[in-house]
Amino acid sequence: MINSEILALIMLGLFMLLIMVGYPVAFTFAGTATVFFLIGWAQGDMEPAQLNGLFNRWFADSAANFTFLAIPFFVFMGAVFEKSGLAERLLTTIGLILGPVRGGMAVAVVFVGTLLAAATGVVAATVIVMGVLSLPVMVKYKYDHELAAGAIVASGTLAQLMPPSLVLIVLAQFIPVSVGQLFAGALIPGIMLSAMFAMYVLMVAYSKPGSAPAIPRAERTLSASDLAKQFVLAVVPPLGLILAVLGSIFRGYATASEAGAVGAVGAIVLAIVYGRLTPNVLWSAARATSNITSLVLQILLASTFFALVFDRLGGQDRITTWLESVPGGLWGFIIASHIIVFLLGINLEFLEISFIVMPLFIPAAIALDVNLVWFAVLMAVNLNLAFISPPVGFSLFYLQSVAPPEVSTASIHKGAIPFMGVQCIALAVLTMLPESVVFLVKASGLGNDSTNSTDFMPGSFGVRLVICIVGVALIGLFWSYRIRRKYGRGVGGSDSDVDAPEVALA
Amino acid sequence: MDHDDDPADWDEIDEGIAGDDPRRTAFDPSEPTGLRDRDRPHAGDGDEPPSELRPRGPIMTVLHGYRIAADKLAGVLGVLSAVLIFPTVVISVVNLILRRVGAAQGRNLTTNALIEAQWYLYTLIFVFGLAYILRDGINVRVDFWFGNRSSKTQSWIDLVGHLIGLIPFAYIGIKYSWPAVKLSWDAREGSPDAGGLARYPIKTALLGAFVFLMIQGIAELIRTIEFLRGHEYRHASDDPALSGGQRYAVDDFDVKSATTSGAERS
Repeated sequence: MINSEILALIMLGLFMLLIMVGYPVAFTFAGTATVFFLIGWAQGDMEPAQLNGLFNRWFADSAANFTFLAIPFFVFMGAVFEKSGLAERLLTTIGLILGPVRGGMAVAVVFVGTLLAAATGVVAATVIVMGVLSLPVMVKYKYDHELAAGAIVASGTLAQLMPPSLVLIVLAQFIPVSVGQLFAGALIPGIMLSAMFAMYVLMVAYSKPGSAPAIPRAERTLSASDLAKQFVLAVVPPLGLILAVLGSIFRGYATASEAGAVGAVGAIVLAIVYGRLTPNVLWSAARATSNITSLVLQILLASTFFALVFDRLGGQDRITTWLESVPGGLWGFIIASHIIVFLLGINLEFLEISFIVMPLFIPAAIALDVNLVWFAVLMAVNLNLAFISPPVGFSLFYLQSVAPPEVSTASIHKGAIPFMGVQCIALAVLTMLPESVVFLVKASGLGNDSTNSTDFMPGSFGVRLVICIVGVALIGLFWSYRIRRKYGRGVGGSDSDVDAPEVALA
Repeated sequence: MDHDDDPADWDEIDEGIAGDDPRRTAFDPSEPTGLRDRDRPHAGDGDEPPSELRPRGPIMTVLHGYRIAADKLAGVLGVLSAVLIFPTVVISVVNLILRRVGAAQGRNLTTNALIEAQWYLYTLIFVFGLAYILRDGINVRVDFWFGNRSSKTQSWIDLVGHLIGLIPFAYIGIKYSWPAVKLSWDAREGSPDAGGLARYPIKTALLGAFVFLMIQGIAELIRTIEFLRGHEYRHASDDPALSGGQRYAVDDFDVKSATTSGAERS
C-alpha cells in the first residue's frame, strides 16, 4: 500500500524512464496510466467511475478546439512552401545576394532559416531543407564545418519560436492565453534571436580567418539588377504572405485558424504563380498535414488520459504545491521551470515536454501571477535550446541525416554549442526585458491587463535595456577576443594554423 | 492479397520511390536510403528479400487475413483524412470572408453551422488519421537508444508496448466513450448554439477513432508477431503491396523518419 501521491510521482518518474525505451510516446503515456490506474484501483485509491469525465475532456480538448484547428492549416501552408520548391528558391536567392560578403552564406542561412521557420513552423522541415540545399554549398566554399552546421541547426530550430509555429499553438492549449497573443509575443524575440545568430556568424567570420570566406569575385556572375529582380521574385511574395497572415492575426482581423486557412490558400496561389503546383505537391502536402495533425492528436488523447489518472491520484496538487513553495517566489519558480525544461529537453521533444510539464507548471504560474505570455515565450526559447543540445538534440539528428559525408557528426555537435551559448544570452535578455514580449501583444490590442503587465520586473525599462546591450556587447567582445587569440594571425599566426580546422575535419 | 511469394526487387522499389517526383530526392533526404535494412523482413536478416518463409499455421492464416483487411481499411482512412484537408481549408476561408463582409455590411452572414463545420472536419481528419499513422509506423519515438537496436529487439519492445499501452488505451477509449455517445444519441444532442450542427454524429466519430485504433492496434500486434516469425514487413509503409510504391509515410515533415535515419548514422 503506497500513498497515492507518492504513487503519482512514481508514475511520472517511471514514464520519464520508459519513454527512453523508444516505444511511441503516446502509447507509453497510455500504458503507464493504465498500469497505475489499475494499481490505484487495487489499493482503493481510485475507482473506474473517476475516469467518467474522460470522454468530455477528449471532446473539449481535442475535437471542439478552435486552437488546434490552426494546426492543419499552418502545417499545410508550410508543406506547400517546401514541396513546391518555393523554400529552395528563397534560399538560393538570398545566398546569391549575401554570398560576396565574408560569412554571407551563413548569414543568408540564418535569414532564410528565420523566414522558413515562420513559413513552415516545423523544425524538421526547415533544418532538412536548409541542410540539403546550403550545407554542401558552404562546404564547397570552404566554410568552417562547425560554423555552417551550427548556423543551420540554430536558425532552423527557430521554427519553434517564429510565429506561426506549431509549438506556440500547442502551448496555447495548456496556457490560458490565446494563440494570437502568443504569436504577437514571440515575434520580437524570434527576430532578436535571429539577429543574434547573424551577429555571432559575422563575429566568427571576421575574427577567425578562413572560417567563412566570401564567394570569389570570379564566380559572381549575376549583375546587381538581376539580383534585385531575383530578390523581388523569390523573396518578396513569400515574405509578404507570412506578414499578411501574421498581420491579420495581430490586427484582430482574423482568428489564428482563419489566418492559417488563408495562408494555406496563399501558399497554393504562390505555387501556381511560380508554376510549381503539381497534383503531387498538393497531395503529398495533404498527406503530410494529415500525418502531423494525427500525430499531435494521438499524443494529446493519450496524455489527457495520463493527466487525468495523475490528477486523480493527487500528483497534480502535489507538484503545484512544490512549485509554489520553491524559494524565491516568482523568480525561484521561473528559474526552476527553466532548469526542468532544459533538462527534459536534452532527451525529449517539445510535444512531450508541452504535454507533460506545462499542465504541471501552469497552476503554479497562475498562483504566482506570472505574465503567462512572457512565460510561454521563455519556455519556447528554452525548448529551442533543447532542440540543438548535443548529443540528442532533434535538429542535430535532422541535419546529420542529410549532411554530406565530409561533415562529421562531431562537427555538427560542436557547431551547435556556441549557438546554444547565444541562445542562453538571448534567454537572459528576454528574461530581463519582458517588454520585448509584451510590446506587440499590447500594440496589437490582443492583450489584457495580466498579459500586458511587466510590473513584476524591478527597475525601469531603459536601465535594463542599457544593461542588456552593454552585457551583450561585452560578451561579444570577449568572445571574439578569445577566437582571435585562438586562431588569429597576429598571435599564433601561420597559414597552417588557419587551415588547421579544415584539415582536421576533412 | 498475398505478396509474400513475390520476392520484391528492392532496388527497383527504391528507384520507384525516388523517381516518382524528381524533386523528391532533393527535398526528401530520407528517401535515397530507401528501405532500411532493419525494417525488412528479417528472415534474410540482410539486404536480400526473405528467401525462406515459414509456413503459416491455420491460426496465423486467419490473423493474417484480418491484418491485411485492417491494413486496407487504414489505408482508405488515411486517404480520407488527407482529402478532408481541402474542404476544411475552403470552409474556413469562406467563413472568414462571410464574417468580414457581414461585419462590413452590419449583417451576420455566417452561421453557426458553418463555424462548427470547421472543427467537425478537423476532428474527422484525426479520427481517420490515427489508424493510418499507426499502420505506417509514423510515431514520435525517443529513439537514440531504440534506433540502434536490432529489428528483433525493437519488435519485442513494440509487442510488449502494444499489449500494455496501445490496446488497453483503445479499450479504455471505447469503454468511456460509449456511455457518453449513447447519452448523446438518446437525447439527439444538438448544438448549444442556435443553428449549429447536431453533436451526436461528431461524438460518434470520436468514439469511432478509438474503434479504428482498436482495429488497427490488433492488426499491429499481428504484424509484429508475423515479423518476429520472419514473414512480414516491419511497417506497412515498407510493404510495396500496400503503399503502391509511394511511401507518404517517409516524409521530411515526418518527425520519426528523420530522427531514425539520424540515429542510424550516429
